[in-house]
Amino acid sequence: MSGPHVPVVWGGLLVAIAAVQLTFGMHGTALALLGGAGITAVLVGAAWGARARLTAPVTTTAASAATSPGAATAAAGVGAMALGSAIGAWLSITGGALLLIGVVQVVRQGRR
Amino acid sequence: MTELATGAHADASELSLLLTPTDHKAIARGIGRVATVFFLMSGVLALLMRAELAEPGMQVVSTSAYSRLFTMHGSGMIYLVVTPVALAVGVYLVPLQVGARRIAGPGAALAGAWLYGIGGAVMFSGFFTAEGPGRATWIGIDPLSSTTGTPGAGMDLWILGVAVATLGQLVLAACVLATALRLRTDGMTLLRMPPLTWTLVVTCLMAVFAFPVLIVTMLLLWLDRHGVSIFIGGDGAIAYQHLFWFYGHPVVYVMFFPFVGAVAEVVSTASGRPLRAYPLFVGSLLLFTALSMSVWAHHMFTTGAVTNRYFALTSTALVIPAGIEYIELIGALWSRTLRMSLAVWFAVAFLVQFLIGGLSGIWVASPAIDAHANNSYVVVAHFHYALFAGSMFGLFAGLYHWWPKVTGRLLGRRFGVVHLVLGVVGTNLTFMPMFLAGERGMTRRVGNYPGSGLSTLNLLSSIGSGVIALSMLALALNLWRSARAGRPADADPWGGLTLEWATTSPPPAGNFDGPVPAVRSAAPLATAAGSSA
Repeated sequence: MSGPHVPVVWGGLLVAIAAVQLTFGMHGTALALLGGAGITAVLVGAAWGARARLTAPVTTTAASAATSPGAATAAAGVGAMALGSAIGAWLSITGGALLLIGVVQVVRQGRR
Repeated sequence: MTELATGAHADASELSLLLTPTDHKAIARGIGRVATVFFLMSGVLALLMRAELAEPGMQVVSTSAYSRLFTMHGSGMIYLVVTPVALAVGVYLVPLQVGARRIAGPGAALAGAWLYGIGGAVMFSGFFTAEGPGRATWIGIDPLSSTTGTPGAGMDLWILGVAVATLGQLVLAACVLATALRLRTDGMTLLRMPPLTWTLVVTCLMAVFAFPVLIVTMLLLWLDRHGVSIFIGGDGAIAYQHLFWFYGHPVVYVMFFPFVGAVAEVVSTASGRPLRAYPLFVGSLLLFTALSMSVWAHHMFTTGAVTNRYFALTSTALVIPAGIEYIELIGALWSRTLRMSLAVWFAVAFLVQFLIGGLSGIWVASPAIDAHANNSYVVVAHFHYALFAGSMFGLFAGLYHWWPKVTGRLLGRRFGVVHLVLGVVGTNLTFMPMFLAGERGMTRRVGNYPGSGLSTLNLLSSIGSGVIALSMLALALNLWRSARAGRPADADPWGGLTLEWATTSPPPAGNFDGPVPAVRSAAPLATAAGSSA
């Protein structure tokens, strides 16, 4: 059994438990929430497994940059946008700009 | 790799390494520090509540302020303390345990940690608004959370703070899950992954599939408060509860499973061998978490809008995997070679106290009993036994076990014993009387109550909360003394079985100075010692 099997097995369990619901009568919301999560888990695991068969295994020796200011900037932008909803639009706009700057930094760091 | 990592660290400034590190260990330590601040804040709110409840009548705060206290106490502890700390345990230890040099998506993990901290700050910033912070309970229940029920910007900040902090935790969970499933070293098969890593895999599966629902629900609630009609009328309130509890019950297990894993590591290390029938343990974790996703509507039994028999069945079925795990853990304790340490004593306290939380969960899994217990102090006692007496004691077991690995220093035994004894006494003195108070009709979320038959029980709970505060003081002193002048710890002070004990304390950038030890069993260090002897 490999990594992708884990979400497939787990998602299968969710689908099976959701199916038991049918014997107690149909309840759309509950069935959709649990069954939807289960089917999504199975699909994610299956897609990951298919991709893993086509690509080389991931090595754990790849180095990463020691810091990522862009990631923190993007997160600060999201926080400023949230806080801006109470303080004023100017802070939300500033947050949006920070988010954009952060994302650009992260993308540029990834390309290096 | 070590050279590469060390070189990369040398290029970065001190400030940048402090604020924007991609080393998973630094990220986890940062989450731990922020969670400690939120724990203190939420703990003070709990002490204020207990001061108010020490006798009948309103003496300390107003009714409205009391609503804000219990809302922010519950929200702080759940969204900003226990859940992120559970994930931080994974951020720190999972890469080490699976022999990875780094966490998957280190930049994303850093962003997740920042989102969590910022979300918490946004949530608590409601205290600075004219109307005060959110007061619609930790579940933000609709229609109490509507603009009519809770007007003002504080509630908006609560909603957005929850969404942002949970988004951060979702990202952290995805990084931990991807690390365990994709970055394992050679020989680390799924069934050789240590118990803590397995508990974090299932925890993160729940987080990845349940947390997005909360984030969307919070955004819908925010829109609902700003003129977009979404949760309208009785059906809207029921829809809100379905969406919220689809997150709200799995998160209880997100706050619990990593500490089951910590206890499993503590007892298996103390007994000097891996858990028996390990595939059964792993299978029970998968079943337990799958069932955990399917029990949310037992919080809605009294609404009459859900299929009670189905949700009673799934909720009661949890005892099967839970029982298997208990037997596994007790089996590990049942060993002639068991070495008792403070971590093991905390693990024993976890097992006993969580049992009370778990067994009282079976009561409220029954719709007939829940009809009586719903909204009473029985429920308050039940979930505090699960989350404080259970999860927090599991966390303490893990803290005494891994603190030397994280800091390179041992914790003191004397302060540890004081922490344990006061912690056990305070916890049971606080929460056991709540069962009786609930049975006698005490309603939750009220600051005032009729005196007859309830005042002594409430006074006992309030005294107990003070004892818990003293136990936390003993822990704080122990941590402070250890950090300043604790005895140095070597790489493996307990005779550990798993890979994190094969590296220095604390581990270097890149996690392992030399090659990662070969993994040929579920206890790679025991195998290595056996083959070298």
